[in-house]
Amino acid sequence: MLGNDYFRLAHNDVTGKPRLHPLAVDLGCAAALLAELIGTRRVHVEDSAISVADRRPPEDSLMHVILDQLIAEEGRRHDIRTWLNFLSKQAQTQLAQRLLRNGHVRISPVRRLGRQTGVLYVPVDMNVAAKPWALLSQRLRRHEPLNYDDLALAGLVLATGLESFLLDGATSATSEFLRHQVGRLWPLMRSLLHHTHAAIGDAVLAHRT
Amino acid sequence: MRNPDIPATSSNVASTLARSRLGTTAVVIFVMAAAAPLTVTAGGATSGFAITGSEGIPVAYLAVAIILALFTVGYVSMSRYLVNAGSFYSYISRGIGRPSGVSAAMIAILAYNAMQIGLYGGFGAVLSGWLNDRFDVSVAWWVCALAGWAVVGVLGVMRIDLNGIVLAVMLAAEVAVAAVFAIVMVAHPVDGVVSFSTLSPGFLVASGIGAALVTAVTGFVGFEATTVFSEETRDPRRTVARATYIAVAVTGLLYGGSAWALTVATGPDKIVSAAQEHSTELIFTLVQPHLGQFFVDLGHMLFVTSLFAALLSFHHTVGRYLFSLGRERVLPGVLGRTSRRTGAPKAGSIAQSVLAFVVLVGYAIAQADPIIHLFFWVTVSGGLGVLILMTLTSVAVIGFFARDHRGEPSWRRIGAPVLATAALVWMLYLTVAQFDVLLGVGADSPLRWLFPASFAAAAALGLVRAGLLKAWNPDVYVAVGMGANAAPASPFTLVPSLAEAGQP
Repeated sequence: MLGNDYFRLAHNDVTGKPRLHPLAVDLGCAAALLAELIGTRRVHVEDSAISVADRRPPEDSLMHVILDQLIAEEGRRHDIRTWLNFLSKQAQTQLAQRLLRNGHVRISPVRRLGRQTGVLYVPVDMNVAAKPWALLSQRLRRHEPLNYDDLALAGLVLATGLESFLLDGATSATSEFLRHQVGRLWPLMRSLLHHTHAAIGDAVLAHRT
Repeated sequence: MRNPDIPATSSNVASTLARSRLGTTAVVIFVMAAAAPLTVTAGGATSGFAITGSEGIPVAYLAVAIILALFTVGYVSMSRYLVNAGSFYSYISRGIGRPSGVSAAMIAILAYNAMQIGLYGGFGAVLSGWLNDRFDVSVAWWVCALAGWAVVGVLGVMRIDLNGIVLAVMLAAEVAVAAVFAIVMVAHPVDGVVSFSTLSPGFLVASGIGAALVTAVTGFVGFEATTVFSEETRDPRRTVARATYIAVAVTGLLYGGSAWALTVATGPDKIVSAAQEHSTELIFTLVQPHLGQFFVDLGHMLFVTSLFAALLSFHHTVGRYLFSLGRERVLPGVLGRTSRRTGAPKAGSIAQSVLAFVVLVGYAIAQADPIIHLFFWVTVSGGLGVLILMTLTSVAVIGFFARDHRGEPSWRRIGAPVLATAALVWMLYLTVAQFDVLLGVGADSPLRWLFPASFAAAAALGLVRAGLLKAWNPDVYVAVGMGANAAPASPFTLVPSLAEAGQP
């Protein structure tokens, strides 16, 4: 699933620590949740408006929760930036919990000065955790044509600034290839990714502690 | 982002987002802490008296506060309709035109860099002077300045801001110390008489007031940052406006009152010579006999931390401008990159630090005076740049609402902006005409034209850049002023052939 793959890419495969700054991880995970719904043609994006296309309950419980939220506030016509901001509050934890339910990660406490300050979701099997990164990185470096799932993941990577990790040490032709491939995504996804990229940029501008 | 017509309580999305939004107090604290009150009351005001030789500094602070409050009316009204409301050039680009917008962006980069780099002079001189007085440690000012530079540079790249609570405590302490100092000075007037003569509006038409006015404007720079938070406030229509008025009013009264208290303690006729003798130590020298060493040490420490907070804040401001221009591709796109792990606008931050380093080393080699030639000259030149930006922004507000009223009352779209523009143009004229007084150089010195001319050069550079963009990169040109939302910023707007290929 796209969300799982993005979560794995955005976190260290051994320690479970994020590879991105917190705001980008949160917004990236929110975008990944919406991207899964877009990929399964549950929701539709046009310009900055988001609408529900298919109301049948999804099998996956997390997708079910997210779609329910979208349906409940359909009449309010929140734009995609509002949804990204809203989902970003919970998205990282929600994706981690899904991995936890399926036995892919375990919870490990983060302690600072003897107090628990948070939790990390540490991968159970680092080979599984590193797989999305290894496959995508290799395909991009070989300039292989990407299928939709790879493209969507590559798009999320580019929108959240993970490409410097994904293509570490690769030639500029490879990052050019990544940009070109992502430009081929269907407009719905490009619209989502454009807003994700801009939302992270705005968060950088309005940074405060 | 949020639709204001829908009640916030009944929506899960709206109420979740509302929980993390900022209230008026938070915005005021962020903005005022960056403006660093003690920097102005102890540093800016005393240097202003010493170098301009004008006794009218106190009334200038009050007059500037009123003018800036007028400016705020239109500025905040327009900020609600912009996507990149934190940067002056966005207003100018939308209200006057994109070429002026690009020019304004270049002026802004120069001006905020000048503010930041000039502050290093104050920081270095005050810290080295204090270390020498209290601990008998003799360190050159530029060593202290470079130490501050190194810390700011690292914090800038690591994206560490001073914590909100730390800032709030520091701000409260600074305001308390400045207020106590002012009260003590007023309670001990020099000849036993409290003179109000330096608050006389008559100074506003006297000769040499231009220098005092721009000194005062320099002290307020930073108040405009309230609009950066406009998307994150509880009630975008009210919170930002209220926070800006409060910030302007509180700083205006504090600065004006404190500068007036200085003149009471020395006597209005002796303030200039006293300021020339003691420079930034004047305020501490005046209160020492009445308050004792503890308060003076506390004041010194807060003076240094306040200068540091201002340094960091202006460093972030420059980084923000460079980032948003890099994202728009008005400046090289590399400036729009952020650090992966910290989200800092890395390239912009490094560029600012490199520039500051070069200037500091230049000043150290030239053995120029850190307070007069760096702190005062360069920050007031930055103040002049910000004054130019505010004047243009005020014109932009009139232009923006002239095309479409957008249901704003006429006071907000015409009344206040026209009055503010007139006042700002008047200040700008006086400042440029009296720049020799401001620098304390002879009327025929080329320096008096050099500083204002640097802004003209930046503006000209901006016009050329805008022309090139219009001819070669129309999509970049169209998006000027959009900041992170600009289409050229995004890799996802390209639609090459076979665009629909990537469907699930």
